[in-house]
Amino acid sequence: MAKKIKSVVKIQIEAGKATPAPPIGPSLAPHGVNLPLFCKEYNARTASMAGYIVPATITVYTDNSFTFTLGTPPTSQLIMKAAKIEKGSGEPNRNKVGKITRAQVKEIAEMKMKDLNALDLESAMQQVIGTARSMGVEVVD
Amino acid sequence: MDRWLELSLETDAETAEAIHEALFPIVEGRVALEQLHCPDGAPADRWENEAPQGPVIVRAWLALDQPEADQTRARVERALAALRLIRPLPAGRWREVRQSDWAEAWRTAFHPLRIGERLLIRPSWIQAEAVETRPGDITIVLDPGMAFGTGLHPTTQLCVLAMMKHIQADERVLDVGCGSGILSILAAKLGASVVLGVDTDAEAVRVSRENAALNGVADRVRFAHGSFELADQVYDWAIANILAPVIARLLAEGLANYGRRFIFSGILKSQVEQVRRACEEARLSLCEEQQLGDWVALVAQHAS
Repeated sequence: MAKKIKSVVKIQIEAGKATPAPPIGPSLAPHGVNLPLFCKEYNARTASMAGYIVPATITVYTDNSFTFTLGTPPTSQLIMKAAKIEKGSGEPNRNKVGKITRAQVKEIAEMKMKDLNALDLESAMQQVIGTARSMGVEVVD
Repeated sequence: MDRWLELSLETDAETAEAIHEALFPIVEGRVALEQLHCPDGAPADRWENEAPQGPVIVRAWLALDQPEADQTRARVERALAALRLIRPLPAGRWREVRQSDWAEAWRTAFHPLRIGERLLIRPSWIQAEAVETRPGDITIVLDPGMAFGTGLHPTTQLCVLAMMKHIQADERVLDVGCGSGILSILAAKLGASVVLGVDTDAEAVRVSRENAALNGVADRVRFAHGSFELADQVYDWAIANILAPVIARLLAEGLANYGRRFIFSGILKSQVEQVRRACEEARLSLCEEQQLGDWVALVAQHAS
């Protein structure tokens, strides 16, 4: 079919919790996107990621049909989960709020690899370590 | 929560990301980035494989019915003011929106759609009794949404008209690029004995199967993930409602071997020549040309 794109919308929502409330409803409805169908599909495809924020990129075509792709949760969120903390530190240099292991860093880097601007796993791990440090999370062996 | 305050700002892609990052925690994630692929009035020649080029619109929403609405708005303004110190930022526009503005609004884009004399496309949430039909009508029920092909686009309409004019009972039909399955379903409803729909998008194949089941033709229509090479026989009709460059490529790859007659759609007026040449090289002769708006559909057969 001749797919002519009308618009591309990016939103970040919690896995399995899509509803027609903002940001989904007011950003997609004006394009005629079938809101219940989008919510159902998003929730089904993110069911295994419960508790994480999973970004979605929705492509809307000129006939109001759409497709969407899912990204990976933000690095900071993956670090908080791994360190079992609710939020990062306000003063990351002084006040350390948690620890993650290098193995966990590797796990996060592998998961984020396709979304990170990194040439290899080692540089992706360095980015994850940088994010952890800026949140007051220490990396231990 | 019915009343919301919507902030919108039009900017470039990089600034939009920065605003998104700054506002996300303040508005509890209720922020969206939208890039218009093709600004209004631009020619209809930008396609899915091209990077979006329009400006980016950042939108954020805060609930007006909450006591802290004023504080949240002030925090948003402060965050924008802080960003303005680093880079120029357009002024944000605030307006009040209501849940009712969008909750059902998307449906207004889809109502029963009549194409030509006899085809009626009915959204699945509208009851059959609620739609006026005429004797001899063919009704296709669609749940519009995922995968291209809701019937709204002129290329699909042109294809539908050509199919209704030409396809006879018991003919075999190959649908290359089946999308939502709408054309394959129509072929079955026109009495085709064998229908094969193929699409290189796995999602389209899944949606097509669902729609065929919804229309009670799943027994006569088969869908497969891939291109026309999946065809196991020569079909009476091969239909390709895709795009001119893709149609030209399919012809160069040998699509002509799989059909006796052809319907090509998804061709812009300015691209007709490209398809015409591809047809000549594949030894097909054109027997019909139909036009709707900027779009053209062609009917072709083997040159005798």
